[in-house]
Amino acid sequence: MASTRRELIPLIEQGVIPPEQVTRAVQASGLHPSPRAWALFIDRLLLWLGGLALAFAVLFFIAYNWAEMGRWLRFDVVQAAMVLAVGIAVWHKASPMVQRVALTSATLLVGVLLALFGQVYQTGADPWQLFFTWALLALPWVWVARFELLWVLWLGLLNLVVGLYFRTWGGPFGVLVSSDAALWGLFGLNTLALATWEWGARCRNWSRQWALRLLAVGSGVPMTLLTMRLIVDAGLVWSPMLAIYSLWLAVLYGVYRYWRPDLFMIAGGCVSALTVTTLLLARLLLWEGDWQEGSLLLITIAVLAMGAGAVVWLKRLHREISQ
Amino acid sequence: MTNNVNDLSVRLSQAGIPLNEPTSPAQLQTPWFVRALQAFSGWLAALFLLGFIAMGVVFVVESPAASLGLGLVMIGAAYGLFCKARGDVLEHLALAVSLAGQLLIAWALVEFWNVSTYLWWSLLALQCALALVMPSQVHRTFSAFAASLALYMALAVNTMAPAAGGLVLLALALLWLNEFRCPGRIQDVQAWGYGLLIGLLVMQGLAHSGHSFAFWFDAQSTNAFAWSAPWLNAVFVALSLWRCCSIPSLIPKPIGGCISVL
Repeated sequence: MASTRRELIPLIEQGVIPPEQVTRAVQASGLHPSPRAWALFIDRLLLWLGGLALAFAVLFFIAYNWAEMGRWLRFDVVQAAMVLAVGIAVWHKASPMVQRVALTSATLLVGVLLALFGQVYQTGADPWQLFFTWALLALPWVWVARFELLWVLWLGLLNLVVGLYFRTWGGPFGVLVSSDAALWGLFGLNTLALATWEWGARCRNWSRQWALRLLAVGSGVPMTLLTMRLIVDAGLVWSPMLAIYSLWLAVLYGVYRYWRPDLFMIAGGCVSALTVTTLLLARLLLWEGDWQEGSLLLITIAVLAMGAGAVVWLKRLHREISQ
Repeated sequence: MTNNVNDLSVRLSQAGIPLNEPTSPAQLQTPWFVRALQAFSGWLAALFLLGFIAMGVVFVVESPAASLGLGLVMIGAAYGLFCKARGDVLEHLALAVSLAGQLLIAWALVEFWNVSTYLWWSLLALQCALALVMPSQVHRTFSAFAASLALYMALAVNTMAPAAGGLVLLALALLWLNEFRCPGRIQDVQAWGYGLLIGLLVMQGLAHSGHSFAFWFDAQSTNAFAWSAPWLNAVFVALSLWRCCSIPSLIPKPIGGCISVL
């Protein structure tokens, strides 16, 4: 639908479609969904809401009736729900969409089962261990589901594991302070996932839609925060971090300008560079300076110049990539 | 892309719609994330510009009337720049000047009325006027977003916050249903629509996270009609659905009926 809209609007704006014919043109273009498309949408929406509601219902049912239910009954309910979900997923008559919903529900139920296990036996495990075990046990189902959303959920679990692990244990060998270590961990994980997904998209025909962009954001935000942290703590001093940040920007540009043209990624790099440079200017001119009004005006002009320059450049790239 | 446009032209011709020769060359639409970058850097520059004004011309910030006057002048200047702008640099500058002007006006209104109903209704009126007048898509989107938040806060002061979501949803439905009504203003309608949509998402996020800013107002505000807010919200949502269902080509009647009942 979005592409039909993108095609239709220029035709209206250029006057190709006469103004008095616009209403008919909208109807003829198929911009509005057909009754069949509506039925399909509602069918899938109800399927997803039903599947997820059932998975969460198991969790809330046990939590609400905790005192009345014995240990075995609690485990039986969760395991029976999980077996049912997996059974539906492997049933040969189930459509691919039903299989995906069933496997997503089963993946959620693994988490419920692990939480139940930790609560019943009071294992004393750290929270990151729960999420790590959850991710590990869910991996086969995520693998066979071949479903973008489930992969992203699984990677979200791993992000949580990394964050919780470094909050508990800090960095390896005490070299890194804990929050920096967590950011490095998130950067490493998401960059690895991004590279793997790009490889899959090139060699195995994996989908190249929103998930890749989400992973790129997951890689870029920690890297930007690490650089900003360096600037706040130490100012403009030589550090390997600066080299790594510059290298990251260069690789981002090289890959998404020449190898896999994607303007979103380059725009993300521009936002990161703009933020870091503004912070650096503020550090040099304001914190290390005298908070003069001239410094504020200088930073305003610099931000305007960088922003306008980035927009002009991105628009030019957009024209080149679109040709 | 060209093939797709040709397919669409063929479909339109088959439907008996006469097609003219293009009167202007096709413009490549700017992607949303480039506009988001423009808005982000404009907002950042506006903050530093405001800091410059606060430090350089202190009396302006100390006097609400001077803040209001300078804010209005800056918005006027931004309007002039937008009208004259032939490139991204001037448009960028205009955006930053306008945002700084709006912040100055908001500052003056806070000085006049503190955090009261008048403040939020005035900001709502200002943002609505800017969304209508400013000849920039990024500005229209931002103003529509800010207007929806001002409406939420204005209603929250009167303990009517739950009604805001429904009202914005109704406005959103009316906008998108009339997207093609004025062929010359399609881009404007889309800009307002995106701004209101972001505002609605923020409102829903606030409602679900439990941070409704109620702590600001609960101590001093009472409203005999507060009980009606959820019901008003339901009425607005039903009206939105009714408007959507009244266009058979958009939502077929049986499906619209089912959604309305739900």
